[in-house]
Order: sequence, then structure tokens, then C-alpha cells
Amino acid sequence: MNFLAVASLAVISLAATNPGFAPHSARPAQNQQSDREATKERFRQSLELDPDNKEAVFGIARILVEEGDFASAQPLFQKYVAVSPADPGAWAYLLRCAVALKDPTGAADAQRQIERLAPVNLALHAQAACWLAESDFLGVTAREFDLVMSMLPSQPSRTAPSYLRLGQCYERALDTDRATLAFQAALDLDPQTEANYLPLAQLLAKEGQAGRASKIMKDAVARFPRSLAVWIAAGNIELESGNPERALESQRQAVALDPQFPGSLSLLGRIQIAQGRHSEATATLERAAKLAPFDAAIHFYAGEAWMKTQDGTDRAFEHFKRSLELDPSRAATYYWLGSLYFHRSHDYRLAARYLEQAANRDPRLEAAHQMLIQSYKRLGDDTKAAEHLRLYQHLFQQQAAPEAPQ
Amino acid sequence: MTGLRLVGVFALTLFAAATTTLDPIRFEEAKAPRFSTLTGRTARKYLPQTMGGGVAVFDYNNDGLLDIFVVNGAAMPGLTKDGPQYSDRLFRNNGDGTFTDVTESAGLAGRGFNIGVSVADYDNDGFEDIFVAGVHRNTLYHNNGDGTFTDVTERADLARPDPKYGPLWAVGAAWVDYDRDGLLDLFIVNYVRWDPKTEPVCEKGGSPDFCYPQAYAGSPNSLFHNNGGGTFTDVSASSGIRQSIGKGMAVSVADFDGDGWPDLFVSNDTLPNSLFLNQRNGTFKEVAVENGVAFTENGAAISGMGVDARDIDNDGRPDIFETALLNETMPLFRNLGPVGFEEITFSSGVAQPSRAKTGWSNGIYDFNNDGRKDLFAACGHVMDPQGSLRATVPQTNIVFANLGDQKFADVTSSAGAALARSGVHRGAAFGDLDNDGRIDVVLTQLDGPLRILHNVSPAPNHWLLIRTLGIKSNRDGIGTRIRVVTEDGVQFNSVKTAVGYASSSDLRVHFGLGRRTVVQRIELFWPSGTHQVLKNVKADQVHTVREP
Repeated sequence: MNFLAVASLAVISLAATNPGFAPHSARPAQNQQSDREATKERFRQSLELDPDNKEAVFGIARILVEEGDFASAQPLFQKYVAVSPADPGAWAYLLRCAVALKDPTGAADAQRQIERLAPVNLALHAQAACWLAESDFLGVTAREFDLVMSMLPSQPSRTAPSYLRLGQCYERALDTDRATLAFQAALDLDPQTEANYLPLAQLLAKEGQAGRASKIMKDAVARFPRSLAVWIAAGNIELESGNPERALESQRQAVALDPQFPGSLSLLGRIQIAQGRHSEATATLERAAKLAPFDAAIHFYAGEAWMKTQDGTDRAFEHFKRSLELDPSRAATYYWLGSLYFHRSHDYRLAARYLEQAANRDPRLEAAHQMLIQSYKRLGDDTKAAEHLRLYQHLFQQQAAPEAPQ
Repeated sequence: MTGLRLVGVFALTLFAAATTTLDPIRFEEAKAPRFSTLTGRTARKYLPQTMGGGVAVFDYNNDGLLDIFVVNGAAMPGLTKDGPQYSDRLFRNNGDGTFTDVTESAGLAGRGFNIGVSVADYDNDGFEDIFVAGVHRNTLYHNNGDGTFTDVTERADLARPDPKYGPLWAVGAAWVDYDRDGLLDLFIVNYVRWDPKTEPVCEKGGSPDFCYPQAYAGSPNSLFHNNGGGTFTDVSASSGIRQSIGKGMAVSVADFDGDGWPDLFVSNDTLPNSLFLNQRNGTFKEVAVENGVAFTENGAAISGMGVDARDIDNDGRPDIFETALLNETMPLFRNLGPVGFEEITFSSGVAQPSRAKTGWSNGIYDFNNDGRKDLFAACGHVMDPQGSLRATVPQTNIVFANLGDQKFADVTSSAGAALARSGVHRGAAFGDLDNDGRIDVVLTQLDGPLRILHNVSPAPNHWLLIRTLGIKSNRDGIGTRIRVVTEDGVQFNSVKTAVGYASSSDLRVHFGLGRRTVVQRIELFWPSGTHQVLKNVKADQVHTVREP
């Protein structure tokens, strides 16, 4: 339900990590594809000569996993482990296949083998635990996750990225308890790296643990007082935690380090939005957009600020559209454009088009579904309206389940 | 019933064209009875302490004058009225601008931490009764007709705790004859599940402060069917009301879908609003999302507070005016009929001025009698007035003048010095205290004095107050929809007392008539189904209409 918080947090990440965000070129992906086809062909030829060629069986199975063809990959890995039962890597891939194919027995078997063959291989177990994050296999997932966490005391600081990635996997899977533990582990292992603070603080802020999030970022700014990125991140966390005044203090520190850094202006603009000073916010974010014209997040916030002024609808449209050109992946941007077309222009056809895009990119975006219901009703398409009502109700019931009456 | 709506559609523009200049809205501070809504202030913060403040204006002794009833808090965390300072109060209107405290003789001092009030004649005996909503304890007072009241909560079977959640925290209520059997039923708005023993500790800016609603679980609302004979049956589950868990703050009753049956809109705090459409068989269907009133254009649930539903554009369909938290705006939903509602907060001009306010009780009334209903919201922040945000907690109230064409202007600054006074306002009840045809406002403030905003709007406009007396319908005529035709056009309104947050307003239905001295036609659509027509009714009177 808390769409705004989710949307803005999503864009924080964008701002924090990608100040000059631009769409990826398609070229490297095409190269990768043709390389993969060539390798696969080479393995196929090897298998024609020798159907038991272990290297070829493993290689082609791995490519199939990369391609998402788990049903074809699984029997090949099974064939491989029949010949080489002591290769934990192969068992890990079998675990991956079992997760994708919703095969709890296969997953449990693979997990046991990995644990037996490589009991202290952190990288392997972290990867296995990561794959299991998206599964419904509660017992196996708990076992593997606990195993990775039990290795923590003996780990050197350089293994922190494994825990960071693990946290990201569980955050994606909406298992915030495990994500928090993993992020905390990464930070405990390596507090000298800035990047280990932000994911934990963001997650805690999103989960309403404002005090803890704030404390983590206080530690971060104490350790990295010259880091612009840390001050900006600290400001964003305070803002998300509902403390615009503290956010403003962080923003001032960032400005002191670099008065022209667009991220500082962007943060100031967001603080002004949070404080209801929308006219000031538009001015601030317009300045930021001039300094960083290719920053999708800044255009997004500028759109948000303009939208909240009495005569800013046209300018809001422009900024949201520009943000979308620069980053066509963000559900929130499609949503706001859909909302503007719906509420301000009363163009329900265009509204539906943008809102569908938002819902496609983030199917859990309740707000898109509820506005799509309205759009389709206005367009006279009761079937689609009913379809989105069902989707909305499903999402809402998932959230409300613990409170459902008897 | 369909006819009412169709006629309204083409009549819509007529009234808007009649008055070309904006008649000013003016209030002056009138002497109010001595009373403060006490919250049982403590160093540790308990959520009920930021709520409360319910107020009612109604005529308890049938002398034709609106009296004032206010609820009060209690010592915390015990929820006990451990001294007379916590007494609820009834003030009799003496008709000369003064009031007399008759609480003791009326037997209305009350118990517990009370939040809201709803008034109606539930037993059709000709005297207005009082329902008091409170934290873990509600009270129904029967008006004995001799200036005294009797607590009949137990006898009415309204004292039972919720079967699953135990005693609930009620904020307000509405009297509504949902099955049109001539007896007023009771809809109770319940807020969050709360227990002083498990109250979380929160802070803001380093000071202890009230926790956000997200820290508490929601609860279902309640619906009690009036059996007659002074008893009620809990039909919350069988009616479908109980299926929706919310954090209810207020309810407004109106026939939103124009089928002649009363529907219910409930504003929820940080959860989607609820719209319960009457299925005409004793059940309701919750349809807020599909009708576009669950959320604002942000797609997020707001901190819904007070609500009133009346027809702001005289198209025959009741619209919705809701109050919300600072920076959220006060949503205005226009009823479009079968396709649902559209939010016109921005296009109407309400968004910007209301964004700076936290609104509580509110009402849609024609304050300048120009024939267009205006908007009023009582304002004050939710946070601790002595906490880190203290500077932002007291707020001025806000009043919007209806310009026609679904446009409103914030006229607070020109509405008199009384509107410049800040306070931690909560309740607001609307009614004509001096029977001069102009709607006054009675306001409560947390830990602050009761206020009366006397309407002194200067335009020489005419008016009509209609008091309905039901025969086959409930005696108050609650739920009666009224269509009024003058040379300037058509207006619509309906009989209700549940208005705004925690408050209960004048039962009489008010119409501003602009420069017109005669109402050509009045149509009343009674809950019984009776359609009554009156012709050529003189303006500037309280006109009592008896159901034929």
C-alpha cells in the first residue's frame, strides 16, 4: 500500500548509484548471445563425438541454466553427478534447477550434497542460499541460510560482498528479516566500505525502523565525513524516515563538500517536497536538472514537485517523460504519467497505457491496478476493469491476511 | 429514484449562473460555554490523547434551539473520569447567546475516555437521544423527554465486546435506517486495536510523541440493527460490514448510487477508504477501489480524518469531502454516477490551501446562503503540542467558498478574525444556533476551550431550514433526500446528523436561496419510499415537514 515510500526508495537507489543514468546499449548483449551460441555448438559437437564427455555435459547444462531452460539442464547435471558425484558445483546447479522447477526433493538432496562436499565454501553456499531465497522450500532455505550465517565469525572482511549479495537476494524475495541479517553481516565484516551501510539503512527505513536506520547512517557519516555519497544517502534515509529537518542537515554537509553536486540539490528538492514547499522544490530541482540533464531521478523528482503545484501539470508531464526517456525501466515513472493523464488530462486511454506499463514492470504496484480499474471503467471496458480489480484484491488480501477477521 | 438524478443533471448549471459575484463568508467569535476537552495529558504519550473532541448540536428539549453536547477525555492510562474536569457536558441554549450547563441534571457526565457523539431519535418518541463513542466503552443515552437522560447501553444490548477483538475503540457513529424499516440503526466507526499496556513508545525530533497509526492493527466497524423496543442486534458480520478491516475515523451516509438506499463512506487512517454500497437486502458491498474513492491521485492511502458527503455541484449526486494529514491535501471526490468518482482536489482549487493543514471535522454547508455549498474544516496537527513539532501543532481552520463549476476559493483570510485564531482543533458541529438562517460552527480544541464561530456573513441572501418529521419513516426523517427548486435552479441535500469527525450536526436541512424569497417546489424522498411535493414555500423560516 505504501506505494510512495516504495517508489521513492526505488529511485533513491537510482540516484545514489547512477547519477548519469542512461539506457544500456544493446550491443554487448548481442555479442554475449552469439558467443554463447558458439560455445554451445562447440559442446554439442564434442557430445556427438563422445556422449559421456563430462566437460561438454557440464558446459552445455550451465548454458541452459543461463538461458533459463532448467527442465533441459536438470537431466544433464544429473548425468554429470552420476559420473562425478563429488563436484559441489554441479550439485549447486542442480539446486538451482530444483528451485526453478519447484522440486523440493531435488533441492533438499542437492543441498545435502553441497553441505557434505563443501561444508565451508562460503561463496558456494551463499550462492545456493541466494537461489533458495525465491523458493517455497522453507526447511531447505532455512538450513542453507543458517549455514551461511554460521560461517560469519570465521570470515575475513573481503567476504563481505557475499553477504551483501545474499541480503539483496532476500530483499528481492521480500524476506526482510533474512535480508537484514545478511546486510548486517556484510557491515559487521567490513565497516570500512561505504557501500555496506546503505542497503541495511535503506531496508530498515523501508521497514519503519527509522531509529536504527538513522543510527547506521550516523555511523557512516562519522566514518566517512568527506564522502558526498554518504551524506546524500544519510539525508535520503532521514527523509524516508520522516525527518526532513535532519535530512536538511545532511544536505547542508553535502553542499559544504561540493556546492555544485546535483545530488545535493536533488536531495534538497526532495526535502522541500516533503515539507510542502513545492514552489521552492521546483526551482531547486530545475537547477539540479540543468546540472545533470541526464539524471532520470532528478527529472522524476522535478515531475513530482511540479505536479504538486497549482499550475505545474504541463511541466510535470515534461519531466516525467524525460525521466522515462533516460530510464525506461522504472514502474513509478509510468505510474505518475498514468496518474497525470487520468486525473489532470482525463485521457483515460493514455492513462491506461502508462499504467499497464507500470503494472507490467512492478506487478505488485497496487496503485497502478486500482487506477487501471478506474481507467477501464471510464473507457467502458468492464472486463479489463474486473481483471485489475481481481489483481488488486489479490495483492491487498496478501497484505491484509494477518488481520483478516474470523 | 432515477428521476431525481436525471432532473438534477440538466439543472446543474442553472444555479451556478445565478450569482455572479462571490458573497463573503464571515464568522465572528461568539461567547462559548466554559469547557475544555481534556486529554489526560501525561509525559508518556497514549494515542487516544491526540483524538477526542466530539461535539454535537441538537435540540434536546424541543424548544426550537440547538443545544451543545461535548464529550471529554479521562485520566490516562486508566481511562477513568476521576474528577469533574473530565465530565462530558450538555449546555442548554438560552436563546440569547448564552448557554446553561445542565449536565448534572441531565445525567450526562459520562464515564471513560470519550471520543465522538452521534445524535438521533432512535426510538421515535420525539426526543433526540445520544450515542457516545469511546475508547473501549460506548454509551447510549435515552432522552426521557423531561430534561434527563438514562444510560440504556446494557438494556439496548450495545455493551458487548467484540467477539474477536474484545472492547473496541469507537471514534464516531452514524444513525441510519439502512433497511428502511422506519427504525434508525447504528453504524459505529472503530479505529485501531489499542491497549495501554502495550502502547509503543515513539519519539519525534528527540521528544516523546504520539506513534503513527501504522504502529497499531486495524479493527472492523460495527453495525447494529434496531429491533424496536429499545434493543439492537449486532449485524456487523451478516451485513458484510465486518469483512473490511480499517482504521476508521469518520462515516458519512448518503445515497451514493442513487438507488434510494443509504450507503456508507468511511474514512480510514493510513488505509484505503471504504465505500459500503447498500445491497437492499440487509447487506453491504465494499466498493471503494472500483469507484475511485479508496485513494487519492497519489495512489496511496491517506490519513483520512473527517468526512461529509453532500452534493457540491447540485447534479443530484452526493460528492465527498474528506480531511487528511498535513501535506496530503483534503480530497474532494466528485460523484460521476455509474463510473464512480473523480478526484477534483486539484482542479477545484482545494489542494494547495489544504496541503498545509491537518484537517479533522469538516462539513459541506452553504455558509453565505448563495445557493452553493461551501467547505469548512477544523484543523490542528496530530503531534504533541508540547513536543518537538509544537510550532506546527496549533492551526487555523480553513473555509472554502464554492465558486460554481466545481471550483472553490480559500476565503479563510477574509472570513474574519475568528478564522485567524490557531488551535488544536478536533470536533466541529454545524448548525444554526440562533435561527437566523446562517450556519454556525461549534469547535472543540484539545486541552483548549470550546469555540463558537457565529456566522455573520453579510449578504442579504435568503434561506430555508427544513425539519423533517417522519411517520412511516424514522421520526427524524434521517435519510430523506430533498430537492429544492427556485428560479435560480435546483439544489439537493439530505437529512443526517453524522457530519465530519466524531461530531453530530443540526438535523435540519439547510438551503441558501440567494436572492430568492420563495421556493417554488420542494420534493422530499422519504426513506419509506413516500414522495412528497410542496409548492411555493416562503424563504427565511424553519419549515417543518410532516411525512404524509
